[in-house]
Amino acid sequence: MKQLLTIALCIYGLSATAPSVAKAQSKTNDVSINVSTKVISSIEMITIQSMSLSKANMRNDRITIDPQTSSNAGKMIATGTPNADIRISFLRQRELTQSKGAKTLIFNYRVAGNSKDDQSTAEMLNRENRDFKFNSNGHFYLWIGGSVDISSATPGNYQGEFTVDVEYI
Amino acid sequence: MFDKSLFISAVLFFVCGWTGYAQQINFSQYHSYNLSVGELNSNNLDFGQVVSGSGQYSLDINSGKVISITGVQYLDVIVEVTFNDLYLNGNPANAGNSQKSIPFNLKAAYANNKGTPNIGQAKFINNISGNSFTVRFPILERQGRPPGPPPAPPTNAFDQSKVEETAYLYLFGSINVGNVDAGPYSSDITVTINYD
Repeated sequence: MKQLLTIALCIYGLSATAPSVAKAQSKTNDVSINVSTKVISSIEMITIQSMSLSKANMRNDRITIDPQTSSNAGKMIATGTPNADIRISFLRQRELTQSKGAKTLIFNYRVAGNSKDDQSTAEMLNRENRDFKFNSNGHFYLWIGGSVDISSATPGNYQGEFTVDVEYI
Repeated sequence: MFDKSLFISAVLFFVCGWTGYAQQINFSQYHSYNLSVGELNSNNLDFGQVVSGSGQYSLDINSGKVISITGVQYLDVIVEVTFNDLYLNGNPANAGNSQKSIPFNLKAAYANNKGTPNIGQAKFINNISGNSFTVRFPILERQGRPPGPPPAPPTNAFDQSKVEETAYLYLFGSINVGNVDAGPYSSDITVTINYD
């Protein structure tokens, strides 16, 4: 009887170890990867008012429009993603061409910008500027002025372009 | 005499019960086989700054996420991947809102060549549809012959480092930016890797 009990316990002991092998687990490995992007709105430029040279004051054969104070300054609004950082650059000098003729004048642009619709507190811009951003409505205001020497100009109408680049940083 | 026969019956019941359970051994699922998963590059899939309505942007395999899978070279792994579109502010509540979500097209490949696998040897996973896929492959590709018999169960003498290899999983893809609201968009890819 004692021998039978011993054998039985041995069999039980062996079989009891088997499940610990069969139930062994493979390890699970999880990785999480973030996918992201930042969407911005395309920038649009809206011309509110063209610069008016004919109404500007002339002094010493030079017409000057102060972009911070003159009501003859041109006005534009750049629209884009609210609060986004932007870079603004423009060409300081452009050629004005006589409408009916070949004469030209060199116009020296000066530009002031403000995130508020307030010309008097607008900041003068350098040729390239990186410290601006759209306001909470996605607007940035620009006033365009400058000066032109007309001492050697032939009477007539002159036309030219102003180029300003506004881009996200 | 009665007591003795009762005792034998009880013992046989125990033995039969445990023996039957012990036959359910899966040779590829031993806890002593380690499987480690790492991120070879810290990059997440960042498409950077994009303009609303500007269309498709892609990150190719060279710019994607690389996951290393190190384990027993002759065992298969099952890789389960789930992913979603990108949502404005990462908010899943924006799912289905075309103005606040960006479709994400996930692409994937793996390399399990002998030596140091590289992108040029990657095998592309072509059957990705919906928002998930599962792929199974050996840590080390079969070296020109069919798979061998199941491996012997590991013992104390088993040294995994002698049969260890690393495979690589590459995740990349593209987004299609429609006329969506401006802001940050994100979602997560979840990768689960187990021995088969």
